[in-house]
Amino acid sequence: MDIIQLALVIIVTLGFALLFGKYLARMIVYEVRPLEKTLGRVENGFYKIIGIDKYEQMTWKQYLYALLLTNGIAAGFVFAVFMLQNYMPLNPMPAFSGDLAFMQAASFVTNTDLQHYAGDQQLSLLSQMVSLIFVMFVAPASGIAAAFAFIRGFIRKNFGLGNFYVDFTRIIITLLLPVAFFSAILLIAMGSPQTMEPSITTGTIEGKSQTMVTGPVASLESIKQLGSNGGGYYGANSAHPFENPTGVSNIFETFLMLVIPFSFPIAYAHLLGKGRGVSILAAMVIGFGVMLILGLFHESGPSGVETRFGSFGTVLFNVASIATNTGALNSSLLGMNHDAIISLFVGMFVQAIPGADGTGMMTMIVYIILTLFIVGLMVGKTPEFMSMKINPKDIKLAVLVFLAHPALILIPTVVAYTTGSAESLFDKSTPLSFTQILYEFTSAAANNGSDYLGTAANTPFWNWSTGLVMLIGRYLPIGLMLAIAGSFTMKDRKEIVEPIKTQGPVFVGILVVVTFILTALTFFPVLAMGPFSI
Amino acid sequence: MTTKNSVSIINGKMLADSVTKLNPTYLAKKNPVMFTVEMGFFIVFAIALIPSTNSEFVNESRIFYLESSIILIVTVWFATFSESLSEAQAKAKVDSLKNLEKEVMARKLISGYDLIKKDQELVSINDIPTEKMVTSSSLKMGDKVLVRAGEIIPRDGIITAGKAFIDESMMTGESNPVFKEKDDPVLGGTKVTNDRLEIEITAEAGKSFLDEMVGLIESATRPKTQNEIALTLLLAGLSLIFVIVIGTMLFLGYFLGYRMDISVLIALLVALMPTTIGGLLPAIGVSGINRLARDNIVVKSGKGIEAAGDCDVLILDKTGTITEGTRRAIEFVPMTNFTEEEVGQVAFAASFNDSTHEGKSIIELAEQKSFDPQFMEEILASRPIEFSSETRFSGIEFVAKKKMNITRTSDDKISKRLSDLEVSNQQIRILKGSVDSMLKIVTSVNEAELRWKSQEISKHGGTPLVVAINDEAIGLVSLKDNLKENICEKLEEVKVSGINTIMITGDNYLTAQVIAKEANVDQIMAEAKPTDKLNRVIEEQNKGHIVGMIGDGTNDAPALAKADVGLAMNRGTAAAREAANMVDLDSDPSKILKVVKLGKQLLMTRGAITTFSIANDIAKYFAILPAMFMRENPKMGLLNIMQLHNPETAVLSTLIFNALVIPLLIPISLKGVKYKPEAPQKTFLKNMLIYGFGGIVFPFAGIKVIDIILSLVMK
Amino acid sequence: MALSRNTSKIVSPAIRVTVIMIITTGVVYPLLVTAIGQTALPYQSNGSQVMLDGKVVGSKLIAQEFDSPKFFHSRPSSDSASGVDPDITVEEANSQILSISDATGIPVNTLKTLVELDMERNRNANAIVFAPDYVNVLELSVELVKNYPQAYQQEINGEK
Repeated sequence: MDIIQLALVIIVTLGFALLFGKYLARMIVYEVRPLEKTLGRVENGFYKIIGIDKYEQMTWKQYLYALLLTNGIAAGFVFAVFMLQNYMPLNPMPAFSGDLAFMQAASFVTNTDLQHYAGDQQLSLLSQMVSLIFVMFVAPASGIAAAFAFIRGFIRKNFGLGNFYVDFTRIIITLLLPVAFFSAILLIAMGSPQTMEPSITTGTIEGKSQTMVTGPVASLESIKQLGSNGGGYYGANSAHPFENPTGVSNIFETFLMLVIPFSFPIAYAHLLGKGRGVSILAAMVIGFGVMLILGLFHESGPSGVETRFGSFGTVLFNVASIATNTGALNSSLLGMNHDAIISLFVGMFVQAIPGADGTGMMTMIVYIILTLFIVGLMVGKTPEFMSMKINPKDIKLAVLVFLAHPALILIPTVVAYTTGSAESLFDKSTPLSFTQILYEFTSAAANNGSDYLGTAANTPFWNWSTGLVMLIGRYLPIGLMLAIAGSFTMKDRKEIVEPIKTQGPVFVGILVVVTFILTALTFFPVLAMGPFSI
Repeated sequence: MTTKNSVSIINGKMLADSVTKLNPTYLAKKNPVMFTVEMGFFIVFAIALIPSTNSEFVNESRIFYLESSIILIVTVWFATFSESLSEAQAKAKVDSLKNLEKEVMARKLISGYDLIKKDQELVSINDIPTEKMVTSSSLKMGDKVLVRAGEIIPRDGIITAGKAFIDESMMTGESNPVFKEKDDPVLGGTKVTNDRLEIEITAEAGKSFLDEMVGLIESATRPKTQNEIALTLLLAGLSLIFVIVIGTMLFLGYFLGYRMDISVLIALLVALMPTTIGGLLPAIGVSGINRLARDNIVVKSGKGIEAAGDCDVLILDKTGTITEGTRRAIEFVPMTNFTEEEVGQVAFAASFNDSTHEGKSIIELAEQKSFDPQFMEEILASRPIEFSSETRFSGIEFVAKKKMNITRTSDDKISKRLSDLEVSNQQIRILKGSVDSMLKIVTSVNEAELRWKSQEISKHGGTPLVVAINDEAIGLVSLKDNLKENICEKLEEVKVSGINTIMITGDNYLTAQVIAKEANVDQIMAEAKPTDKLNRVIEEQNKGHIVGMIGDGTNDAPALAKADVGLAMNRGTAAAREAANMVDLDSDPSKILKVVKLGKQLLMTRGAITTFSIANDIAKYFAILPAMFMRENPKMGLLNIMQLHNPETAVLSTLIFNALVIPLLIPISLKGVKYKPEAPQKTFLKNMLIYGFGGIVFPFAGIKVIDIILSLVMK
Repeated sequence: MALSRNTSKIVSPAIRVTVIMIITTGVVYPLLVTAIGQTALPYQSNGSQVMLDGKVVGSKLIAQEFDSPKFFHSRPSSDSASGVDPDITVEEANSQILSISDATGIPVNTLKTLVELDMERNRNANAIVFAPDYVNVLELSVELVKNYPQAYQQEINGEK
C-alpha cells in the first residue's frame, strides 16, 4: 500500500514537473505559452497599471532592489493588518503585539511561515484572507522570479537578467494563481471548507454545542502548499482536518509542495542542456530519497499522529514539506521518531533537495559551483561551470551563501542560551529541548517555517531573533546568488566542452557526496548533541 | 636526484627562514588558515603556563596542554618549512640559471678601423686587429659587430656593410635563407649562412628576466594567481565555518551539561580546518616555478603557469618545434629517359662541394643506395660552383679529359652523356637548385613534367631540387624536413588532454598538410606571414580559448604578449623575451608542451590536496567527538567506532596525524601529483578515488595507529 | 527635488504592484473560490456538516466529545496532532465494542459489522491506497443512532 502511494506520488509529481518545467522554461525565455495571446493581453493590462515598460531589462542590482522594495512594501502591509485587525471588519480579533507582528510579517514575506500564534484563535478572517493569502503569493513569486533571473544569468551574455515586475506579475497571474485556483476547488471537493463565515456553531449528537472556526480555508491551503509557504489557517496546520481532510488530500497536498521545486531542473534541462537538468533532478531525488529512508526507518506515532494519515502518510508529507521548505506539518513533531527528526534537519540544512520554489534550484547551483571548485581542480584545469570559468569573486559569493546558513543557526542558538531565553521555555536543558531550540532557528534560517516550539515562542526575544534570522536567511543568499548570476553574465562562454561535465551518474554521485559531507561537517556536532542524543 | 637536491638545500638559512615565517603578522597576511592555528597555539600555551587556572572550560592536565600546544606550533612550522624549502630550492635554481644563461660570443669592431672590399673580402686597411671577442650581453646600442658565415647574429641590428643569406628559420619558420644587404634589419639569434656582414646593434640588452623570477619566488613579493586567490577564499570560508561551529559548541556543550575543554575544542578546530592544503599552498605555487626552472625555463609571471593548465589551443611553429628545421634528401625522382640511379649519381656530383646539411644528406642518400657516380676522378678534379645570391644554384664544373677513366657500360647513360659532351670539348657543369632558378638555365626539359613531378614531391611534404647537367634536367631530389624525435607521441598526449594544436608555417599548403598529418597536428596555417600569428591568437581567444604559443622574433612579440601562455626563446630578440611570460634558456620550442603539462599538474596538485584535506575531516570527528562527550553521554559511544585508547590519546593522535600529513605530502606538493595524458573525466575519477575516497579512509587508519603507539608510550 | 521625483519613480511600480496583487490575490481570488465552492460544493464548503433527524450534529471532520458510554470515543485531544482528530483506528474501535455492547445491548457482531462498514466507506473515499484503515467516530455514531434509536433516546434528547 505504502509503496503504491509513494510510487503514485513520484510518478504524478515527475509527470507534472515535466509539463510545468517546460512551461517555466518558456516563461524564463519569453517563449510562446499556451493561450499566449490571452495571457499576454491580461499581463499587458497589469503592466499598464503598474506603470512599467515590459521590455526594460534590469541588472542584478536593479532586480534585487525591485525585489527587496516590493517585498518590503508587502511586509509593511501585512504588519499593518496584524497591528490593526481589531479595527477592521470580518470577525475582528485583538491586534498583535509589535514584536509578534514584525516576526509574522517577516515570516510570511520570506516564505518561511513560522507561526508564533494560532491562526484559528488569533487572526481575523480578514487578516487570513487579505494579508495571508496575498503574501503567500508574493513570497514564492519573489523566489521564483529570483530563480528566473539567476538562470538567465547562465543563458545570456552581457544582458540584463529580466525585469522583476514583469516576472513577478507573470508568475502570479499565469502560474501560481491558476494552479492555486484549481487546487482550491479540488481541496473543497476533498472536504476543506470555503466560506465567508468565520465560524460555525452546531449542536452535537449528545445535544451540546460545538463551535468550529471556518473561513476561506481551501483558497489559503492551495497556495500555502503550492508556494512552499506552509503557514496554517489553523494552529494545528496541516494536521487539522479542515486543512487536510483525508488521505487523498494528504497526498494531493504533498504533490502540490513538490511540483514546482521539481519543475525547475526540468526547465533547466530545456534551457541549458538536457543532461545537466536531468542530473540536477537526479541529485535532488537522491537527496529526497535519503531523507525519506531516514524518516521511515522507524515507525512514527501513533501519539501526535493523525489517524487518517498513519505513519507512512505522516512521514511522506512531513519529509516533502521540510524538503521543499514549505514547513507545514501534518503531525506533531513530538510524535516523530528522532531519526525522522534528523532527516528533517538534513532537509533544512541542505535547502536544495529540492528546496523551496525557486530558491531551492538556486541553492543547488551554488552547491554545484562549490563542488566543481573543490574537486574540479583535480583534472588540471580551472573549474568551469556552463563553460564559463569560476573566478575568485564567484567563490567568495558561493562560500558566503554556504557560510551564512550555519552562522544564522548556530550563533542565535548560543544567544538564546546565554540570554536565558532558552531556559525560560524549559525547566532543564535536555537533548530534546536543545533540539527544539536548534530546530526553531534552523527552520527560520532555512525559511522553512515548521516549528517545534509553537505559540510558546511568542515572546519578544523569540519574535525579534527569529524575525531577523528569517530576513537575513532569505535576502542575503538571494542577493549573493543574484550577484553570482550578474558575474556570470559578464563572462565569455567557451565553445568547447567543460573539463568536468556537470552531468552523468558520476557527477551526480560526487555532487551528492560533496554536498552531504560539507553539510555533515558543519552540523555534525549539533546533531550529535541534539536529536542523536534524545 | 630530487631528494639529494632537497637535502642539500635544507640548511641553516632555510631553517631560519622557516622560523621567521612563524611571525603572526606575516601569517595573518599570507595564510589565514595557519594564522588561526597559531592563535590556537597561543591560547593553549597560555593555559599551560598560567598556573592554577580555574575555569569551567579548563579541565585537563598541564602536560596535556603542553603537548597539544607543541603539536600545534609544530603544525604551523611544518607549513612554513614546506614554503621555505620550495623557496630555497627555487632560489638555488635561479643561481644556477644565471650561470647557464647562454651567451653568444660576438666580434665587436673596435672604432678607428676601416674596411675596404678587396677581392670580395672585407679586410682592414691597416693590419692592426680590428675586432675583439666579447659576450653578446656586453654589447651596447650603436656598437658594430662582424658576423661571419656560420655565426649567430648577437642581437637585433642593421646591416652597415656586406650582403649575405641569412637563415631565419628559427625566428620566422621560413626554411629558405633570406637574402639581405646594406640597410636591411637583421634579427638577433639568426645565422649568417655565407659571406660576412657588418652590423650595427640597434637594440638594448633585454632586462634580466631572472630578476623577475626571483620576485615570484620570494614570499614578500609573490603575487597570488587567480586560482590561488579563489582557493584561499574557499579555505578561509571553510575555516570560518569551523570557527563558528566550534565556537558555538563551547557554549552549547556547556549549557547541555558537558565538561567542555578549550584545548580539546581548539584541537578539533585545527583538525577540521583545511590545514593540509592551507599549509602547503604556498609551497605548491613556488614549486611550479622551480620545476620549470629545472627545465631551464624562466617564469616571469605566475599567470602564465596557471594559464598553461587551462591552455586548450597551442600555436606551434613548424620549424624547430615540430620538425628539426634541417632538411634531408629522401628520394631521387628521375625525369623520363633517366633512372633513379642516374639522378642519384648526378645529385651526388652536384652536392660534392656542398657542406650544408642538405648537401651532405644528398651524398649520404646516394651512398646508401649505392648510387656512387662512376666518374669520381672528374669530380675530384672539378671546380666548385658556390651557391650565390644571384644564381641561386650550386654544383661542380670540369672540363672532361679526352680519356675519361670511366668503366663504360652500355647502359650508363650519364657516362655516355658525359663522353658525348667530352667530344665537343665543352665545359661540363653539374648543378642543383630550386625549380624556379634551375628552369632559367635548363632548356632541354619537358617543363610540364618537371613541374608536375615537383608538385608530387610537395604533396608528400618534401621540397624539390632540380639536378641538371649543363642545360639538361636529369631529375629531382626530394628534400624533407625531419619530424622531431617523439613529436608524434608528444602531440598525441597533448591531444588526449583536450588541447587543439595549430601548426604555423611559411610552407605551401600541400607540404604543410602532409607534415601536419604525420606529426598529428589538428590544424594548419600555411603560407603564413609572421603577423598572422597575432591575428590567430586573437581569433582563438575571441572564441574563448586559452592560447599558448612560442616565439622568438620581434614580429612575434605582440602575439606573445597577447597569448595567455607565451614562451619566448632565449636566443630570440629582446622584444620577444619582454613580451612573453616565460623564457626558455635552451631555446627549445617543443618545451611549450612541458609547460602545459606542468600547469595542469599544478592545478591538479592543489585540487587533490584540497579534496584530501576536506575528506580527512570525517575521521577526525569520529575520533574527537566521542572523546568529548562520552563521559557525560553514553549514547555518544555509538560514534566511537575507532575505539581509541582514551579521550586524551584520541585528541593527541588526531592532532599528531593532522600535523604529520603536512610533511608527508611535501614531496607530492613539490613534485606534483602524477599526471598522465588522458581524457579529463578519467583523470578526475582516478584522482577522486585516490584523494577523495583515500582521504576519507586513510585518517581512520592513521589516527588509530598513532593512538596505539601513544597508548604504549604513555603506559 | 529631482531626487524625490526619481525615488518616487522607482518606488511607484513596487507600490502599484503590491496594491494590484492585494486586490487580485487577497480579495478576488478567495471570493471567487468561495462563490464556486458555495455554489457547486456547498456541503464541503461549509464544513461537511452531518445531519441527524434534520438537525446538524457536528462536522464529520471534527471530533466531538462524547460523555455517554454508549458511543465510540475519539482519541483524547492531547494524543492527536490536531486535537480534533475525528478518526480512530479499527483496533481502537474494536477495543471499545464490548463496553458499548454492554451499555446499549447492541450485539457485538452488529457493532463489528458497523465498524467494518464505516472502514470500507473510508477506504473507498481514499481510493484504498491513500490512507490506512480508520473509522470516523461521528459517522459511526450517527449510524448507531439511526439503527438503534431506542437505545439512544436518552442521549439525543439531552436527558441524562
